[in-house]
This record gives sequence, C-alpha cells and structure tokens, in this order.
Amino acid sequence: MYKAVIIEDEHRLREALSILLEMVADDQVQVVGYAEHADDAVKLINRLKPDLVFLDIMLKDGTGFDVLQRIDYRGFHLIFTTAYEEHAIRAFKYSAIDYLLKPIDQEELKLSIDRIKDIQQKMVGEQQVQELHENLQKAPERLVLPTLEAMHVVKVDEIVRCETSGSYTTFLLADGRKIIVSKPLKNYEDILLPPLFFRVHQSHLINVHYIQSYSKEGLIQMKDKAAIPISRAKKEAFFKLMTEDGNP
Amino acid sequence: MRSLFRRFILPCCLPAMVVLGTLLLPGSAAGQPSSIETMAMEGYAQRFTDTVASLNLQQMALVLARQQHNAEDKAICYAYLALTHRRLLHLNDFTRYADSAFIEAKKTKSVRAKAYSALAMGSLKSYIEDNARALDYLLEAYKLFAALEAYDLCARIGSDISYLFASGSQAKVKKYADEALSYAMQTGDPESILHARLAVGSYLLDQAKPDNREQWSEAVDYYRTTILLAEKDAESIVSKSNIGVAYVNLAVLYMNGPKPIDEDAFLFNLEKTIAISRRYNLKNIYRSSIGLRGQYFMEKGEYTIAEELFKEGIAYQQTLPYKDNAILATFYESLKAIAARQQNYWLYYQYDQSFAEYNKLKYDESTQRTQQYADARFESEKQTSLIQELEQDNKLQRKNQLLGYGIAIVLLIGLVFMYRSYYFRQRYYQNREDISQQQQANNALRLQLLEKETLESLAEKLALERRLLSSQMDPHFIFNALGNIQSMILQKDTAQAVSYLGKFAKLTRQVLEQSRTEAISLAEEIETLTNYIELQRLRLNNSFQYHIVCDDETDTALLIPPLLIQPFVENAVEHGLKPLPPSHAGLLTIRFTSTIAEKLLICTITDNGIGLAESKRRKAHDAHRSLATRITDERLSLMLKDNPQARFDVHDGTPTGSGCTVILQIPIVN
Repeated sequence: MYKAVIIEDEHRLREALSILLEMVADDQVQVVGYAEHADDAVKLINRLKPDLVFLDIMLKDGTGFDVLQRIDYRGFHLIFTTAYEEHAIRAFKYSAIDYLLKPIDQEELKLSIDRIKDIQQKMVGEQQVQELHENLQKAPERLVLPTLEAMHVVKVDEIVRCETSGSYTTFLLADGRKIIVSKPLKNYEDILLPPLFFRVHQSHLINVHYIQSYSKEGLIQMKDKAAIPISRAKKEAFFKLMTEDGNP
Repeated sequence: MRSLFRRFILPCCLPAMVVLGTLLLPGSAAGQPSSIETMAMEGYAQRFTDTVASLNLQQMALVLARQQHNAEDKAICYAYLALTHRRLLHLNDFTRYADSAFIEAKKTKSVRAKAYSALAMGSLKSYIEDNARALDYLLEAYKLFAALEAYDLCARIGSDISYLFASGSQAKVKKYADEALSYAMQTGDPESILHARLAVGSYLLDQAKPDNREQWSEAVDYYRTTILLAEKDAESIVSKSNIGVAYVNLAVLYMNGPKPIDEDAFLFNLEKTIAISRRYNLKNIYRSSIGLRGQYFMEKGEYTIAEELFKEGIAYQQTLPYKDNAILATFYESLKAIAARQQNYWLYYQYDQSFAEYNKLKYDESTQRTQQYADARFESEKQTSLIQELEQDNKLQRKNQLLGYGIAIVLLIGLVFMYRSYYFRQRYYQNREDISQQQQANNALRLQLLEKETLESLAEKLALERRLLSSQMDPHFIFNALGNIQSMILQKDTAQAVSYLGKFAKLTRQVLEQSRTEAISLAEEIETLTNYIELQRLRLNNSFQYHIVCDDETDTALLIPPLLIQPFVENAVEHGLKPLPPSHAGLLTIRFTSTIAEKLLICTITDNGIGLAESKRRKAHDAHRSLATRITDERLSLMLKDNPQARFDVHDGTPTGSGCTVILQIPIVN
C-alpha cells in the first residue's frame, strides 16, 4: 500500500482525485494528506514522508516546482497534475517525469499507478529536479532516459537516432551507447522535433545532423553505418526538409 | 549676339564647376569619416586618374557598408558613386546611385548621410537642368555641410548655388558667390579658392557691360588676379580645367569689352587657354576655345574662317568618346548665325535642321519622366526666343534686299516659322498628353497601393480574430471548469454539476458567437462577464464578491469590440483573488464610464488581491498567463490605428491598499 499526498489548491479537483484513486487503486493507494499552499506542502511532505506525491503546478502561493526544490525528503514517486501547461509538459517529457492532465482520466491514472510498481527506485533524484528546473527555463538541451537500472541524462545533439521495438524505444548515441527505454517512440517524436529530428519511418526517428547520404530510392546512410529506410508516406516531406534553406 | 557668347561658354564651364564642386580631398573637415567612407572618398579622388580603380574601390566600400547594414555609410558610398558617374556622364547610373543615396539617407538620422545624399541629388538635378529642384537640394546640402563645418564643401556647393541662380536673382548670385569665397578663404585650399573665385568672377562677367568701363575693368582685374593666384598654386590644383576656365572667361571678357576690343589681350588669353587645354588634355576647354576663335572671326566678318572653325569644333566633338548634344547645338546655332549674316537662307535652313536635331537630343537626354513639366515650360520659352530672332532677321532683310527677293525670303522664313510653330505645338500637346497619361498611371498605382493596404490590414484582423477565440477561451480555464464538473459528478452533487455545466455551455456559446462579430453592446459584454465571474466563483468556493457598475450617463446599448475585458478579469481572479488566504474576503469591481466626445468607453477593473509584484514573485515559472492579455494588447494597438486613445494601463495597488487596478480605454464602435 502506497501512502499518497495530494498537493492541489482547488478543493473540488482534490476531492475528484481522491475519489478516482478509490475507484482505480483502492487496494494500492491510500491518501494520507493534502495541501493547498506551497509552504504547507513542503511541511507535509517532510513530515509524512509519503510514497507517492500528486503535485499541481499552480498553487495559491507559488508553484509545484518551488515545492520540489524546497523539500528535504525525496523518497517518493512523483506525478505532476496540470490542466494545461504546454511549456511545463514539454519539460516533463524531457526530464522523464510522469504527469496527468486534468480532468484526470481513470485509465491514465491506472497506468501511472501501474508504472510505479515497475520502478524499483522511487527516489526523485536531485539531478532530475535540476534537469526539470533547467528545461523549464530554456529550450531543453538534455533528455532524461529512465531505464530499469538508472536515469541516463543524454545531450539531445548526441542522439543519432531512435528505433522502436513494440512499446520500447532504443536510443543510439554518437559514442556508440545504446539505451533502451520502456516508452513508445511516439512519446519522443513529440519532443524531438524537426528540423533537427525527423520520423522517416514507422520504426525510425533520426537526427538529420548524422545523415551521411541519402538516395532518391529512399535509403538513408547514417554516420553510425546504419541504413535507414524512408517510408513512402514520408519521402516527400523528408526531401523537402533536406532541401530547405538553412538546414544542415 | 552677346547672349550667344555666354551660351557658348557656359555649357563648357558649368558642368566643370559642378563636378569640381564635389571634389573631396581626404581629411576634409566634415566631421569624423568612417573607414568605409574614407575608402569611398579615396576611390572618388582617383576618378580623374584611374576610372576603373576609382569605381572598384568605391564598389568595395559599398559592399562593406552593405555587409555592416550601415545606412549612413551606404548613403555616402552611393552619393560618391553618383558623383563619379556624373563625371563619367553616365546618366542612368548617376540617377540610380543618387536615388539610392537619397533612399538610404532617409533611413538614418545621420546629418552626414543626408548632406551627401542632398549633394548627389542636387548635382543630378543640376545635370538634368531641373534647376529649381537642384537649388532645393544644394541649399539643403549647403546648410548641412555648414553645420558639419565642412567648409571646403560649402565653398564649392556655394559656388554651384551661385551659378544656378544665374538666370534668376543677381543678388543671390552675388551672395552665394561671396559666401563661397569666404568659406574657401577659411580653408586656405587653393583649389577651393579658385573655384569660389570663378563663381564671383562669373557674376562680375555677367555684370560687366561694355559701356560701363569701370565695371568691366574691375572684372578684368579680378580675373587677372584669379589667374595669378591659380598659376602660383597650379601644382596643387587637381582640376586643371578651372585654370582653363579662368583664361577662357578672361578672353570672353576682352571680346565683350569696349570697342575696339583689345585684340592682343584676347588672343593672348585664348592662346593660353589652348596651351593649357593641350597640356592637360582638357577636351571641353579645347573645344570651347575653337568655338571662341570662331566667334572672334565671325565678329571680324571673316565668315569663311569662322565657318571652318565651327565645323572643326563639330568634327572635334564627334571624335570625343562622349556625346554633348548641347555643345553641338551651340555650334550649329553659331553656323546658323553666320548663314544669316551671309544671307544664305538655304544654308540657314540646313543648319537649323541640325541645330533642332541636337537641341532635341539635348532635351531628350535630360528629360526624365518627372521632368516633363519643366521641359514643356522650357520649350515654350525657346519658341518665343526663336520667333524674336527670326523677326529680327526679317527686319534686316527688308532694309537690304530687293523687294521681290525680300518677299521670297519672307515667304521662306514664314514657311520655316510655320513648320517650327507646328512642330512645337505638336510637341507641346504630346507633352501634355504624356503628363496626363502619367498622372493616370500614378492614380492607378495609388489605388493599387490603397487596396493592398486595406487587404493587409484585413488579413491582420482576420489572423487576430482566429487567435482571439483560443485566447479568450483560455485552455487552462476550460480544463479547470471540466475538472470541476467531473468532481461534482464524482461527488454525486448532480444539481450543482448541472448548473455549472449550464453556465459553462452558455459562456462557451457567447464567446464563440462574439468572436465572430465586429461589435457587441455593452449590455451583452456585461452579461458575458457576469456569467464568467459566476463560474469562477463557483470554482473558488465563493471566496470573493463582485460588483459590475455602470454610471448613469453610459448607455448600455453602445457598441464595443467583443472580448476585450475578460482577459483582464481573468488575471484579476486567477492571480489576484485566488491566492488570497481564506481570512481575506476578495472583492472584484468592474466600473464602466464613457466619454461620448472622445468616443471612448472606460472600464476600470479593481481587485483587492495580492497585487502584481507579489503575484510575479510567486509565479516565476508561469508562462501561460500573459497570452490572453498579450493578444488583447495587440488588438488594442490595431484599434489604435483608428482611435489613438485606445489603450490599457495597469496600476499596482488600489486606493485602499494592496491589489491591482486596470484601466481600459475601449473605442466605441459606430
């Protein structure tokens, strides 16, 4: 049973989340406290040392990010909640931090709870918070790749390409490393965007900086010796991208 | 015949003067030139010695100026190029560069750039004989260079201005020539001094009438001194043609002197002129001296020699690499005069044809589209003088010829006259037609531009409208509202969920409808705001009260642009009232007043929330919230185009303490 706290400044939304948790994970999660203000949230977390924190971005006297930076205790799984914050959502994705959109969907909530069970280490690392902080300030340069054993922080421009195999994504890096993440390629296609990255195929997302050559027939030779096919539907868009001015 | 003399000399000396007027020496006093300007200046200084290198250097300077996006340097480079092309007699390039200089100079506040561009333009207008505009530009350049303390340039521009006033006010001719000389004396540069002295000399030459011995002697003495000074510093004078001009003018002065003329002095100065023009290869001066010699022999009655000389002058001009239709016209005019004196009217007619041809070419060359007015005016003046001339000849004929021969001549002249008159009438009407055609073209262009402008502003408005909907229905607000409804359903509070959902649906509908209309009534706006605030109150557990007040004079039927106010109310609620601790009762007041005279509705939104500064401190990471107000700001500035009072002001704090006041000035729609 996970001890959970909800940090949310709107009472109705807080109650909604409690009820939803009872509905989808009554036997796994127990809500032990809540807070509306950032100050209260810091005290609450430090005192109760929960296993799971639902954290809203907008609080009455500050933001969820402030709470994260001020707490002493970090041994919990973290799920951000937000109604609509494009900027923040991109930062979450880059920092590999889980989040739920309000109004919260039952299925999504259940998936998030299930994911927690797979992850052994529930620590919200100092580095991850730091990455989140930086990714909120400026265009992200680094991506956090969570694997079973560790959180890998990689530079975006060192990613040569990504390859999908089912619900896993393999990252191939410039130094030859391979990192396998248990998230679908779609998740990364949304944040690794053109003109630097391009999804040339159902199974391939490539960094155009690492293209060695490409043929009109639709085969790309990458600098890591891999040959990547271009799917028929993507050909036109790809050639256009490559011939546009100012592109690598 | 005296007028003919002056015309003969002026075409050769005026261009020489104006070109000189723009000669610059490195280290001129005009402030601190940039390295690019210095480069262009050095290129320009080589224009007499090495044209290719001169142009190359100036083009390089222009490329550098372009790379650095420096409008000042660009304007100055263009001006130098224009002046160089003037010297090369390339009218197209001259025009293009002068225009470019003028356009570039408009982009900058730099006085230097403006001064140089005015100089280039003035020089251009003077070249195409649009003297009125030339004066405007040169006077501007003169004033600016004086402000920059570039006295060498002032001396030369002053001289040019003086020449340009020649056909007008003699007082001004004298004033600017004198000023030019005093500027030149300040610089102490022999080149500038000679140039300015020639301007003063030109004035004296014009004033010197043969019957006023004193004035004439004064002019002669002045030219002698000028030549003495010039010969002394001949080495340091780059533009040798000016020395030649001094000799030519002195020769002219002797020729115009009291009769009998001092032939020795005249011939001495003419020989000096020819010697100088040969030594320095001054083609224009040489050509003029041939013409002057022709004039001399014509005056002496040695028509055959004079005729030969004029023909030699024409042949010489034909060998020159550049066309000068004006001088050819003058040569033919002189030949015409000889023919008239010899009473050879067949020859007269022949020469007149050539004269008319070159005269036409001369004007065609200088005729720019914008010139047509001036051209037409000029032509009609020419016509009058031609009629006078022919009438004079006519009188002469009658005295000296047999009656029958005289009648034949009168008939011939009459024919020529009729032909000329017909020809000029045709030209006059052609010009008028051209002008009206151009005016039509201008009008069409203006209409097109107007249409384009309207389309652009329409597109701008449409794009804003498209974004309006998304900004007014802030996604954060929508999803929060949906979250609240979800919560009420989960808590089985059906009645409240239904009420909330109803209000939310109504608001969505209002915003959708209003985002598609140009204007809504104040009553509608108040209804939408009330609905919005009620929803927010439900969401925030009725944690604040609100009042919407409209003063008695304000008619709620008046029309305003839709959806301007709500973003500010949203800010007041989300960032002012919502963060208040439960112990503080929130209060939101929206007050409407109007000034019919200024066609403005004034909306004051006051909250007693935490205030701007505190809100900013708390929401360091929050980027979404300003979107709606930013778009509203854009809309207000778009409206500003029609109504300069539209705007909004934000004040931290209210009369009663913390909180925030926003004052919106909204244009009332007709």
